[in-house]
Amino acid sequence: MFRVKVLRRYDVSSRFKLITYLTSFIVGIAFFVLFEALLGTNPYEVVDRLFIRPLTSYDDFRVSIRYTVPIGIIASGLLLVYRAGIYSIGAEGQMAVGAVFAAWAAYTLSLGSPTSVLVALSIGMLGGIIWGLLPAILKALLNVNEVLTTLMMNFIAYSLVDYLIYGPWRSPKSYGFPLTEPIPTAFTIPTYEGIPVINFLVLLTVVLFTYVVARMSKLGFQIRAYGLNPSAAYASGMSFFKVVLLSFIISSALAGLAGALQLLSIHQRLGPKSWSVTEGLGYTAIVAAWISRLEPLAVVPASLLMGALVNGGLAIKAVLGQSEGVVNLMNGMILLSIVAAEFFINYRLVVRLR
Amino acid sequence: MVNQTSFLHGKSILAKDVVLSVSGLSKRFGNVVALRNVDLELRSNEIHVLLGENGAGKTTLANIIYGIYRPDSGVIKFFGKEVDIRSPKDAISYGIVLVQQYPMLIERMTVAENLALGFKGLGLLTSPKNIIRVIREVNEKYGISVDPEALVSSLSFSEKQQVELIRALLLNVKLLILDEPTTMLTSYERRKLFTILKKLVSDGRSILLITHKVLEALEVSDWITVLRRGEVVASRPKDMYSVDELVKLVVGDNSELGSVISPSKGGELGGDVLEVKDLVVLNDVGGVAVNKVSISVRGGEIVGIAGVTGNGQKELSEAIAGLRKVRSGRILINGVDVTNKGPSSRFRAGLAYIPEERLKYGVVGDMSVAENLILKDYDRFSKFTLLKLSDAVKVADECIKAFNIVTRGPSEKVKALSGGNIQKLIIARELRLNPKVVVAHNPTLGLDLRSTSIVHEYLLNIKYSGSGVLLISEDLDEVIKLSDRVLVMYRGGIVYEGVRGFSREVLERAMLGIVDV
Amino acid sequence: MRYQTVLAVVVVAIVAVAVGYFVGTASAPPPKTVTMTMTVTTPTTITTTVTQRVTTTVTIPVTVTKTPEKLKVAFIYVGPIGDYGWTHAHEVGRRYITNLFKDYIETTYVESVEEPKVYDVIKKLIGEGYKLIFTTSFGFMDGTLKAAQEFPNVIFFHCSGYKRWDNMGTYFADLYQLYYLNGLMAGALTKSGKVGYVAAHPIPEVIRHINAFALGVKEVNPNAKVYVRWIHAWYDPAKARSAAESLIAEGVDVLAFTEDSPTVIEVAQEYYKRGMPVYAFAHYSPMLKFGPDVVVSGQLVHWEVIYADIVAKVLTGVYNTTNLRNVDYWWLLSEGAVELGADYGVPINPKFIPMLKEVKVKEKITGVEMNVYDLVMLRLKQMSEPRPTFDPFCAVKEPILTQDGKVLVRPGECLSHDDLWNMMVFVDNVVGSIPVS
Repeated sequence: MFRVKVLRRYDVSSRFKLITYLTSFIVGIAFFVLFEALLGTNPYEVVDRLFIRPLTSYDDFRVSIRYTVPIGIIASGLLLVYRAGIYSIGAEGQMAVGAVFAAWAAYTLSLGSPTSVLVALSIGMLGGIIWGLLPAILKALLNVNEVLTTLMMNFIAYSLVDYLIYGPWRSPKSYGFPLTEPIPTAFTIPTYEGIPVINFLVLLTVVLFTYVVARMSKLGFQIRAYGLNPSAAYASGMSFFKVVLLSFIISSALAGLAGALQLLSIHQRLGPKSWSVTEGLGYTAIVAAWISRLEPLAVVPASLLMGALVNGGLAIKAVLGQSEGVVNLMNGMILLSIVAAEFFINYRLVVRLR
Repeated sequence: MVNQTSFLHGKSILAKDVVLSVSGLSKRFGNVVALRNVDLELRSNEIHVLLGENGAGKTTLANIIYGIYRPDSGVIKFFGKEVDIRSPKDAISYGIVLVQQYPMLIERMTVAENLALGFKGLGLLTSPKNIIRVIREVNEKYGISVDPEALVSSLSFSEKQQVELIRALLLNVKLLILDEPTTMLTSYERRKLFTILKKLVSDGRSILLITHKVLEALEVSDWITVLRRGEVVASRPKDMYSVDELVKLVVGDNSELGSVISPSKGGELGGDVLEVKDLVVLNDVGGVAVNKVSISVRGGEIVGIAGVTGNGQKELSEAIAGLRKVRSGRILINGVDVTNKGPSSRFRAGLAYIPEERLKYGVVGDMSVAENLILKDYDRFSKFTLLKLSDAVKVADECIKAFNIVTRGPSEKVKALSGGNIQKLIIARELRLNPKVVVAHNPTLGLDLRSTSIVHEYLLNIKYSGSGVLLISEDLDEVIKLSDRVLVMYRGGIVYEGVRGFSREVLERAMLGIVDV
Repeated sequence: MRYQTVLAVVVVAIVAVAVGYFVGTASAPPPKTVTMTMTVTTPTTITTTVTQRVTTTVTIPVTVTKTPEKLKVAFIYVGPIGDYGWTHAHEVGRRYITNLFKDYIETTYVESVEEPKVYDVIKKLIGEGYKLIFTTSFGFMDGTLKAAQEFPNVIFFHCSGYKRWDNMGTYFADLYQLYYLNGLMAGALTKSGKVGYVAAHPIPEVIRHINAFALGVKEVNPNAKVYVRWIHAWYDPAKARSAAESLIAEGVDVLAFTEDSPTVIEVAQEYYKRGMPVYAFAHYSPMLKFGPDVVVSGQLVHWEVIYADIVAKVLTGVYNTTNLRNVDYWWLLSEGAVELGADYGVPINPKFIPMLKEVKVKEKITGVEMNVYDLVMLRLKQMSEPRPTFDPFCAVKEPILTQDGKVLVRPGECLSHDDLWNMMVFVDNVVGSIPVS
């Protein structure tokens, strides 16, 4: 009989962490590929479509990057709250409201480019902040569970978008269909051959910003102390209110920024279905944040990977003709492999024969 | 297997057989060597004390014998037979039971219910009455006095410990391991525990008792093995040691201990640095824990608060530190009213706090030594909201040197440090803030001899520098040794106050609520 | 130890990939070579607008002597093919044409595509050589147009939208005539004079259906009212249930709905079982089996009719990448794109035929008295003719009024295609409002 024992590891080197992560990831993908093979799909093609092309073929990469940018911007913000030990899942709603606010700016303000874009992005960030503020205050003052409140706020944000596109913002030229007018051209952000170059530069700026905040600033220090030992952080005189509020504000502002960017450059109008602008990327970004292990610079590769996977997921459906379920299965396996990696970094298994 | 050993065990009563023998045992955690080539022999009918400073490897050794850790190399023999103990379950099946430093009991259940939990020996269908009867029998036989029908939450610490002993007895223990059982006990309770332990071994069992207290080792043991830095430095019958020799063995050749602390009269007393007026504080479940307590501490004195654990000391210290809401009353630090203000306003007013739960309130274990040293005054190490960690590292290097913190460097994570070194780190941090008053709660709890004396020295230095100290401690010896005035806390109130020259007996009686009029 | 573990894991991974590769290659199908002659005859009606109808009959003999390159046709769906409504109905159409043109086309589908991602999906399909792409959700409109402009050599057809391009046509099969017929029956069956409608989203399509239904009710039962509940979702069984129950609580005893699940019917069946007869009309799919005691009739769709027509014309070159700017299918009963009933071939649940025959009304054009069953059959026949002789949105002697009493249609006039597409008001016997600013 086998007997398996779980032992804690001590002094884990960063090299070992990296190896474990990559290995778990490869194993996760390997299992998915094996599953695909059993369905009768050529595994080489699966891997090719899932990762290799989305990251290497210029044509496919253009698509990946359009998902990468919002994922990366949001994940950068999320890692700050996660470092503080706050588990917000509200980026999706903050992103949607950011887009709504930016759309409002575009429809009501008459400004010339590029002021127009800067103003719309700022107002989008403000929208994100407003959406993040309620859960933040509830958490900071009454210690209300942020997982619940942020999730609720996501649904309210969806309803807000629905209300606007079916109600006051419905375009008179859309035959009554739930579409808003396209935003004025002065507010659009140009793309280069479909690549949102400006958005990508924004992402890099954001990553640098969060790096400074998380690793070099006083706030980052307080955030880390609260995340690692809230009692000691409080006893040391750090303000819980300030840490919760500021980390929430930064992360929701970034989510709002991501929504505004997507609206101004990619979608340029609010459309049917609540998730028209967010595309669920506010949730994808949560995974990216954890893949980065809450390290600001690692967000870039993590979001590139997640962007490629979103794109690769489309390929699995469109090119290999497989169902949504298969794509969900793949996402699940990748998530599991990350969790497994986390486990193997902290523990090791000793298997003995009895 | 079990039957076989109990058969052997039956014979061993007469022959003083070797019950447990450990040879060549080594264990590393990462780069740290916890045990190196340890040999140990434990005989029947004997209390064997494992003596050593914190971090000497005592607990690691116990955990290996109990199956929590696995050794890297070495052989363990139990009743002459090599055994492979893979888990506490295995250990228990051999008759080895370890009683942890803090009892693991469910507070909302009765003693009998706790003992019935997970206990196969009595069978599933055993009636509560049956269990109660068995407990009463055990009580009588070994002089234990625990009411089996009492709720665990109503028991004192020492009673909870006795419940653990009963559990071990019900498990048919042959080798009982006790990890620092006396840290939380009054001297009366300690003596009672030792009486029980002696009865236990007279009945054919063996006890491995882990402690860092030299006098205690001499008081209770038959045999003493001294561990230092993971190695056995001596192992012989108790009578073959002298006190001085034992201390030297424990500490190693280090002259630091030569300076024996003798509390002098001290200098001039300053003004009130801490005033607590009619303080009422509630405990976690809403009961009154501190009832109209008034204390004042002046600069240049140490005020000690003695008392049995659980009489409101925790709530009092937390209220002063700003970690617990005050119901009524006032707290002034250096003349500033800080009642119900946050912790930061308190240390700005001049309060330093050495918490009892140092891992919870004192440090962030996953942060580095340098980061923990600036946990309170990180503002001073920042420019335009950016933190200048290089400055913090410089300060850390100084602190490590000045306070003799044993660490691999300022960037080592604090959780890798031993308890004593963590305490030194906390003291270093608090003293850097030039406090007017220091509140120290059980500052030497779980520390070894050397660390304890270092902490005592620091507290006295604070006093000599003109600041005040409020020493809340459950270690009566410590309170007597350091304090200029002593208050005794009992059931949330101050029942006794005395100045230097107090009698130990009066204090002990006051701690039990008996106050002479 | 840990490096051994890592090594073991890597080996497992490599083995898994290798095994997968061989299993995968082993199951790849062998290439086929086909030689054939093809003759396609399609009598079709291309309706570019409501007013202008052109009928063409195309007979083109095509002789193919070498391996034919099959036309690659792709369908993009917004939902899963397993839903009980919209996407499933399109998938039925896809399977039908895949079989019908099996020697000439190969098809694929992509399900559950979020609307903003349609452009990315189209690009991938084009990369795989798909030349005819159907996008079957209104929300796919902008993405499809963008792709049509970028890829002029690919033909696109977008369902339910209004934007077209040289190589992008639109198509839709509308149900309003069926809702009208359902309304006639509902008016005959209601005892309380209150008829309910559980409605998805307040868009012209749904409003048009509610109005057609209400006009039918009014024609048989001038005093009856249609009560509307919005659930703001295409698919939400929980909301549909509570909407249906609240309508029943208000006294409604006949229900119609727009929602992609049989929930409303199940509710009606439950009330019937409790001795409280509530009748219902099925929507979009054959739902008779969910409420055999309560389902009177319903609306069914036949996308395959439209798909067969489009594919035939693309294959024969009638449609190419330059002439689709005015191609808009707006197919109804007369083209056979929709069918009356809650199951194929069953226009009215036989259980209800006697009840409908008992109710007598005056036919509003001729003034002849007839029972409601005959009226339904008459109207069905009139609307199914190649040139329909009846339309619910034509006012006969009396004007059609809106809720606030304004004239929507004057006697002797009809609503145009654009009027129907923009409809955002209720007719006068509807109780409820359209949530617009």
